[in-house]
Amino acid sequence: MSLLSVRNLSVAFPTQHGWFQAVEGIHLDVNAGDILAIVGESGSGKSVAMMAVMNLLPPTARITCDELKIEGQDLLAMPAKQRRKLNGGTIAMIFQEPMSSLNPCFTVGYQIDEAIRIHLGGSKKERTERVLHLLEIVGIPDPRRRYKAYPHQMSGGMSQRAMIAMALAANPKLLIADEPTTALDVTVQAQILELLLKLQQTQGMGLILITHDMGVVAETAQQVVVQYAGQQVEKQPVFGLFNQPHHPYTAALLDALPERAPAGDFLPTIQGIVPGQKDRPTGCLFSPRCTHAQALCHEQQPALVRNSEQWLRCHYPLNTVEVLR
Amino acid sequence: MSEVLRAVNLQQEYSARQGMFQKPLYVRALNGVSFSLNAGETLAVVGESGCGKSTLARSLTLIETPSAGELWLAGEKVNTANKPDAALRQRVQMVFQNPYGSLNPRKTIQQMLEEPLLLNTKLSSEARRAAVADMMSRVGLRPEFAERYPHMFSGGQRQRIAIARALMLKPQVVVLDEPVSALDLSVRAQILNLLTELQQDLGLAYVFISHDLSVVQRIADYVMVMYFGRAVEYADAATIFSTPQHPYTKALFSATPVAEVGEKRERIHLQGEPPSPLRPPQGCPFGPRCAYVQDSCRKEVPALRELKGAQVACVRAEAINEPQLPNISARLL
Repeated sequence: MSLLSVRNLSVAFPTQHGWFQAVEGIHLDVNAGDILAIVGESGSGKSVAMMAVMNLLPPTARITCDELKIEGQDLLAMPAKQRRKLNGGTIAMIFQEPMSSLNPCFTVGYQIDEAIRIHLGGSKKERTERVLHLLEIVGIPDPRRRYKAYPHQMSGGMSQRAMIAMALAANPKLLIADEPTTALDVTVQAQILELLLKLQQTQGMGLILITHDMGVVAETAQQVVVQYAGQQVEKQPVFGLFNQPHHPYTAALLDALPERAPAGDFLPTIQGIVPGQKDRPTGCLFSPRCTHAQALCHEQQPALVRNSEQWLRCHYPLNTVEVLR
Repeated sequence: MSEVLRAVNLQQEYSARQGMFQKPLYVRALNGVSFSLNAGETLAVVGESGCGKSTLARSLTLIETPSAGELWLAGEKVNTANKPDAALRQRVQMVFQNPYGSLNPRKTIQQMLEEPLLLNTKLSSEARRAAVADMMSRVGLRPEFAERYPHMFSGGQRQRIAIARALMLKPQVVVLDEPVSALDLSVRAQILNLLTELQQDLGLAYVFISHDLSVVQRIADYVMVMYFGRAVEYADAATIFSTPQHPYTKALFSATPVAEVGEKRERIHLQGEPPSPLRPPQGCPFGPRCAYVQDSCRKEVPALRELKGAQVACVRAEAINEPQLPNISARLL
C-alpha cells in the first residue's frame, strides 16, 4: 500500500471566461522513504495539485479525482474536519517564502509549539522540550535563545529551518516541500537540501519536492514528474529522465539548460510560450512548440500511458526502442 | 578593443542610525572594487545576497554616486563630488531583475520606449516613433504591439521590453541585474540568446550580475566573485571555472547543483551565514566560515593579488591549492 496515491486529479478555477483548467490528469504514487520531484515552469500546476491534496484550495475550485488516498484512507470520502486534522499531522508542507510563511507577531518557539499542541498535545514542559529538540535537529544554533526570537530576527536560511522544524513537529509521514530553497542563496540551499534529505532518511518520510531547478532534481530526487500547462507529461526515475527523456518537452527543457547545451554562442530554445486559457490547442498541448509534432499531434490529445515505472503523454515518444502505446 | 568602463577602488557607504542621540554607524556595502571592461565583453559579478552586487550596479549606473574611488566611462572620469552630467549617464543603462516590477503598468510600450528620447534628445515625434519600431523588432517584438500595455505581455516579452528601453539611448555599457532569474527555463534561453545577439551586433559591454553559475559560465568573459563588499577572486571565465583558488569561490561552485544524474561531487560545507555588516569580523571577512582559516587570516583583510593568472584575496591560497587536494570544480566544465 502506498503512502499517497492520486489517480486522475484535475483542478479547475472559475474565471470570467469560463473554467480554467489549472491541473489536468495527475497520477502519483509515493511510498514511505521515496523522494519524488515535480518539475515544471510557472503555471504548470505543480503547487495547485499539491494544494488540492492538502485541501487548501479556495472553495470555488472544482476538484475532480478518481482516487485520493493517504495510507489507504480515502480522502475523498472524508469529511473536511477530519481531513483538516491530517494536515500538519500526517501530511506537512513547507512553503517557498520562509519570511512570509511565518507569523511576524509570534515567536518562532510559540509557532512550533502550536503545531505540537494541536497534533500531539502534552504538558507545556514536554512541548517546550520537543520544540528545543526540533530546533536542534534542523541545525539552529543556540535553540534556547532562538525559541524566543521573532521571525524578523532570523535570516532566510534560519527561517526556513524553523519552517522545517514546524513541519516535522507532529512526525509527518509525508512532507511536501514547495520550492523550499528558491528564495535562498546557493550555499544556504545546499545546507537546507542536505538537511531535508537527512531528515527524510532518518524519519523514513515520503518527500515530494516541487521545484523548477533541474540541478536540484538531479541531485536529490529518485522519481521525477514533469508537468506542462497543467498536465503530467512524463514520469520517470531520475536517471532515465536526465539521460533518456521520452517526452519532447522534457528533452527540450534539458537542452535549454546552459550547463547541458552544446558549446557555441547560442543556446537551443523552445519557441513560443506556454498556452494560456484562451489559446489552448485542440491536440497535444505542447504541439505548437514541439519540433517533432506531426499531424496527429495537432488533432488528438495523447493519453497518459503507463509502462511499468514510467508514465508518458506523447504520440511519438523519443529515445525508445519499443513503442510505448 | 577599447576600454569603456573602469572602476578604481570603488566604495559605497551607507549610514545606519543606532538611535536618536548616538552617532550613526557606517556600513561599507562596497569596499574597494576595481575592474576594467572593454567594448563587446561581459563581466559577470557573482556572490550571495548582501555581498554588494546590487550596490555595485547602482554605483556603476550612477543611480547613487560612489562615496569614494574613481569611475571612468569611455575615457572620461565621472566626477564623484558633483552630480555627474546627463551625457555620461546615458552611456550606462540598466536592466532589472523583475520585469513585472520594472515596467510602469499605466504606460504603453511606445510611451515607455519613447521617454528616454523625449527627455534626452530633440528628435521629432516621427523619428522617435521610427526608433521605437526599430528597437522593438530588434529585440524580437512585433512593432504593432507598441500601443499595448505591459500586462498584455508574458514575462519573457516584458524582459525584452526592459532590454529595449535600456538600449534606446545607444549606451556603451549595460548593467544587467539578474536579468533571467525571474524567468522560466524555456524563456531564459531565449533572453540569453537575445543578449548575446545584441552584444555582437552593437558591441555592448555587459556587467552581468547573477547568482546562477551555469548562466555565468555560458556568457561571461570575466568573472568577479564578491563576498562582503569586496572582490575575493577576479579572473577570466576559463581560468576561474577550471581552477578556482579562493576557498569561497570553491565552496560557491561546489554548492551549485548540476543537472547531471550520478555526478556525485565533493561538496564543501559552508557553516553559518555571511557576517553582519554592522559587526565585521577581524581580518578576512570569510574567515568565520572558512575551513582553512588560521591565525594569520585574522590579522588583516587580505588584498587581491596576482596568482596563476587570477587575482585572489586569500593569504593562504597557495597552501590550499596544493595538488593533493581534490579539484572539486573540474566537473563543472
